[in-house]
Amino acid sequence: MIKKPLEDNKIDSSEKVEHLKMEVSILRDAYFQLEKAIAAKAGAEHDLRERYKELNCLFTIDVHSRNTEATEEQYFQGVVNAIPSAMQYSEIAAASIFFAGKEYSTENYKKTKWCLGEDIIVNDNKEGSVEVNYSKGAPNSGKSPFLDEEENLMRSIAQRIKEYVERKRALINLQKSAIYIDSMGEALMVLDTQRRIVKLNKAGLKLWGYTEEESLKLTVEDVIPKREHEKQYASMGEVIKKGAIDPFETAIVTKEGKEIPVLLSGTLIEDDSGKPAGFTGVFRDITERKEAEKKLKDSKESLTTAQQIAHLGNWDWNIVTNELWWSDEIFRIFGLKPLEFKATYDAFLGAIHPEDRDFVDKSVKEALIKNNYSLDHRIILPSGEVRFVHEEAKVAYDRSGKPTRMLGIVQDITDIRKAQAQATQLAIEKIRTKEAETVVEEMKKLDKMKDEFLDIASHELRTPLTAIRGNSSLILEYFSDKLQDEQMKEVIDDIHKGSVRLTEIVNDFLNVSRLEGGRIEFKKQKLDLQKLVSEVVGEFGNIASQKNLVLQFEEAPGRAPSALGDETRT
Amino acid sequence: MADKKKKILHVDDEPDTLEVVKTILEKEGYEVDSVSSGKDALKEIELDNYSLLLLDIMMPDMSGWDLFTRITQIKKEYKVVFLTVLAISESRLNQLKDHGVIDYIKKPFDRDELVAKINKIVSS
Repeated sequence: MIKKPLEDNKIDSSEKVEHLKMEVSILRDAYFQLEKAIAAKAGAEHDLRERYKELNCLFTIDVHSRNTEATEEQYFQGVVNAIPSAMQYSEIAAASIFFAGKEYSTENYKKTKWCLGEDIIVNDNKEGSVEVNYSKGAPNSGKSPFLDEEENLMRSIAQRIKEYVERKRALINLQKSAIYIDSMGEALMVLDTQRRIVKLNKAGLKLWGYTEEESLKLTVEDVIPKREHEKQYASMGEVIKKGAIDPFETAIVTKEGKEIPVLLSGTLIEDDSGKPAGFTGVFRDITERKEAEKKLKDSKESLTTAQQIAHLGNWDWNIVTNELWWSDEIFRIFGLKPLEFKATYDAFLGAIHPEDRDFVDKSVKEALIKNNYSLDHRIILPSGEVRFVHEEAKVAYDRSGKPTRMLGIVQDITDIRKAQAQATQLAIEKIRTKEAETVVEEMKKLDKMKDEFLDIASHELRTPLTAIRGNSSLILEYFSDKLQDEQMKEVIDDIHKGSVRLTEIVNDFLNVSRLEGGRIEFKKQKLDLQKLVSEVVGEFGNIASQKNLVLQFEEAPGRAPSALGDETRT
Repeated sequence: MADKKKKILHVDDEPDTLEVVKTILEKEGYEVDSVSSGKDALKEIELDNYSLLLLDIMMPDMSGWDLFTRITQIKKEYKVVFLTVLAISESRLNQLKDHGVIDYIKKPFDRDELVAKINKIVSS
């Protein structure tokens, strides 16, 4: 295109000049365009470099704001140092931050007129400013030496400082408020949103066994057992949603690694703008309660054992809902299984012996008025076995005097009853035996009295009888020659005979009484009947001959029969 | 019996009994001392020798048993016959025989039995 006019020599010179001028103009335009393009490319590269510097600065600032170990002074110094390098003409740039009456600046900083400043506004108050300046006028002076992007950067820096300050203040507030809670008896822990401990009150330090310094390096995960972590996260989520949660049982782990059961209640801390700023947790040591619960469980177990031994159970009847609670032993006494049998008052009545049911029902209803009852009745087990139980109960009333609850005991007294019955039987038998003994004793006494009477009577009879018999026989034997009168002799003889008979009667009388008393013992021995009879015949032979009678005994041929008897009593 | 009469001591608290026994035994040729208490009997025993002692048992102050016990303590062996209303069992009598009691006669006595037993005992 360009070569063409040069190759065409037929064109006149003026035309050629015009043509050349035009070509030059085109070339110049092209050159300018080229130059412009080159400049644009350089500008873009420059811009990119500038953006990079700015981002790098913000990144550095963020790093500082995240460093919780740095002091506020260190933070501001770090921020201020990062600013100049972000500037287009960084070699002549300096920065300064004025905040809370303090000034932080780069080494070369001094006030100039080429400066770019931004207010630091915290909670709607201007609390400081950040500034960057150049020590001399920039090359393109006349206009602001600062780029639009640099103005944006400064606004970002001011915003970041604001956020840092606000966060820091919230933290300080947390720590400040935590001072008051040192006086609390319960352990209180304050966490930030990162779950880092920002405060553990004195009771808390004592509970865990950390020093305050140690505690501030820990997170909540360090102070609770691992298995409780999930629960903890869940509860924190709940707290963020609701602001607070009801106390729940969990555990903590002390510095020494000991686990302690606790009751934890959590609340949310919000900053002034209503955003979550942290958590508070109140930890109550429930070791004693847990131990008490264990003791209660143990004592319940020992109560159960005691009930088993005594065959005694207790029950609790809610009269309003008609719910009846039985201890295990009652189920055992009634021969029922807790799962198979739903205890209600009607069910209880059903287990009572039909003959006792009305009486028990009546007693229970009376007890609602009388306040208590104590009775014995029978129950029938599902096996059909009848058992005796003793019941005692007390009634509780509400304010209006309506019975609401009845508490009572049931004791299986079947065995006791049996033992009592046996004891009673024994006692009766004993009394009977004693009575019989007394009767025998009495009879013996009477018998003895009778014997004594007979002894005395016989003695009293015998003494005069001795005189009568002795004297009459004396007359008959020695003075019969003097008894001229036959009639007189007969009278004396009659007296003598009478006295002899009377002697025999008295003797027989005594023998009979002794026989009654069992005092005569008969010997059983073989008797020679032949000898016995001949003796008797001999004895009576004399008496017979006196009456002119003949008494004779003739032995029968062969052996006489033998017999058993007492020779002295024949 | 002709030259010297055998002496018998009879102890009984009943005067009637003492008299009838004394009469019968004197008729049989004995000399009979009758006393009405154990105390008197012991005195007589001290003073005299008797062929036989006839003792009642049921007496006030000192019973025949007691008297017999005292006699066995004081003197040499005596022939003793209890003349009593009490019945003495055979076994008891056998025991007593070892201590000098020869027999017992029950009141009211049969005269023949009394005389026969005493004659037999005294002469043995």
